[in-house]
Amino acid sequence: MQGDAVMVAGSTGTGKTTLALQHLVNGITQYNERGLYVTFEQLPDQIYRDAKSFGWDLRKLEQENKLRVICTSPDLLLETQENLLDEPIKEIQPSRIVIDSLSHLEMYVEEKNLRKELYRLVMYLKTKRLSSLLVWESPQTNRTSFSVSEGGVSFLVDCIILLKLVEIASSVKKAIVIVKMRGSDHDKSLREYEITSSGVKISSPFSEYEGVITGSPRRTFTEKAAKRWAKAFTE
Amino acid sequence: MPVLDLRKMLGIFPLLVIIVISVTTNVFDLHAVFRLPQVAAGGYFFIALVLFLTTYISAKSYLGSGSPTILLLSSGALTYGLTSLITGLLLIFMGAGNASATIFLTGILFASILNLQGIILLSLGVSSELELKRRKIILAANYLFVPILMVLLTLATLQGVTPTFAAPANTLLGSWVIVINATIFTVCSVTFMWRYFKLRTDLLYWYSLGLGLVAIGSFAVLTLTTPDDLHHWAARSAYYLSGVYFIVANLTTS
Repeated sequence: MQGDAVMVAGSTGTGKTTLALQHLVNGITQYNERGLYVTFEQLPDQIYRDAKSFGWDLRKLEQENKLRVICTSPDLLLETQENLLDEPIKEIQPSRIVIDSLSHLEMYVEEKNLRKELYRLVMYLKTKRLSSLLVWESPQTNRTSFSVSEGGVSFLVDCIILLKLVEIASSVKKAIVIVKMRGSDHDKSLREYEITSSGVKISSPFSEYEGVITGSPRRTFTEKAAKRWAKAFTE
Repeated sequence: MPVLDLRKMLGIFPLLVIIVISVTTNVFDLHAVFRLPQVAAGGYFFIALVLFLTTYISAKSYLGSGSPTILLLSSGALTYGLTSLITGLLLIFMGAGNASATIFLTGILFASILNLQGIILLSLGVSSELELKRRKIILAANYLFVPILMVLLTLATLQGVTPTFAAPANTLLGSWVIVINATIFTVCSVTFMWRYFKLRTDLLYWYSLGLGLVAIGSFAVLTLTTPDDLHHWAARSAYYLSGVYFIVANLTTS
């Protein structure tokens, strides 16, 4: 929804940046919604190169005034929020913005002030009627909850999407789940996703497993029993 | 893992108890009648639930493995489950009689034939390399065919089109069907037990005993003279217990 703040949380290697860039590119190419990408993590060349590998020509989109990539530092954003974002917002009038990632703010803001600063930022984006996608680096844990709530920012956003690495049959797979969506019902299933040459592709739910969110899923009782049937009657 | 640990040894005990009760009630002419249709029906509903769960698990297994043996055993489980469900309903609404006996014995006959076909394919080492889509279609066709067959059988029985199986003791036709059922289930049970000693897969052990109980129940029904007497309850108990053994088979960890 327009003006909503969506948080994408996940550990390293889950594809948060890819998903965020895909969100912006899809907005431009499919919905004619311009985008702003604010990053504290990478240099522009690196972003353009990585995006190119997925078939997204960010330079071209920038030249067409449909996208702006802003590489900055968290303290600069906090200090000159209005100045830093106002100009590109006026210039290209984006509908979508990605901030990659909010976790960097932790380095520059005291813990007691973090929520206040994040609240200020989220509210600023909302007043500009920007649909924001806020990337949050959360540690890979084997708990059923995740550490977004520890930062105390989960209540600030309208939607939380969790990306998780899970171990299945000695290989690492990726799981995505919508943890929260304010004012709307949503798909509660944990789905597998892959990072392909054309971006993030979401596939079927992990219906054969339980405990996926812990990172160490187990086959469901019926799935285990089905395996035993196969063992008993096919060997 | 020992071939027969204490738990498995104890698993044989109920089978022996039911055989002893069945023989004793006939030898000593113990024919006290306990007409408890709700209890009898409850037992059949329990079997139906267990067999539906078994059907679901074996269906998943078939989709994963493509084994035609598992497909046939799964269809057999579904047939047995539906038979038990319909028998339970008839016991509640019509009491023990020819209709419930006809459906139960005929349904069990279908299930036994499917089980027999399954072990024949298993013995011949027949496997299939069908792709998942084809497996799904075949599974759906099987699972559609079985309920249709059971509904047609039920309608035919209620319309009086089928021959008499119990009046109230078993007719000659009824007795023959019971003999066939008991023989096939014995063969299946022995085959799976033999396979258990070869593969040491607990599922085979408990599944074999479950089928063995169906065979014992069928043999017990063969000598039935008075519906709802002690002997009849011993036979029913064998069927009910088979459900417990099928649960254990599905819950085993090896």
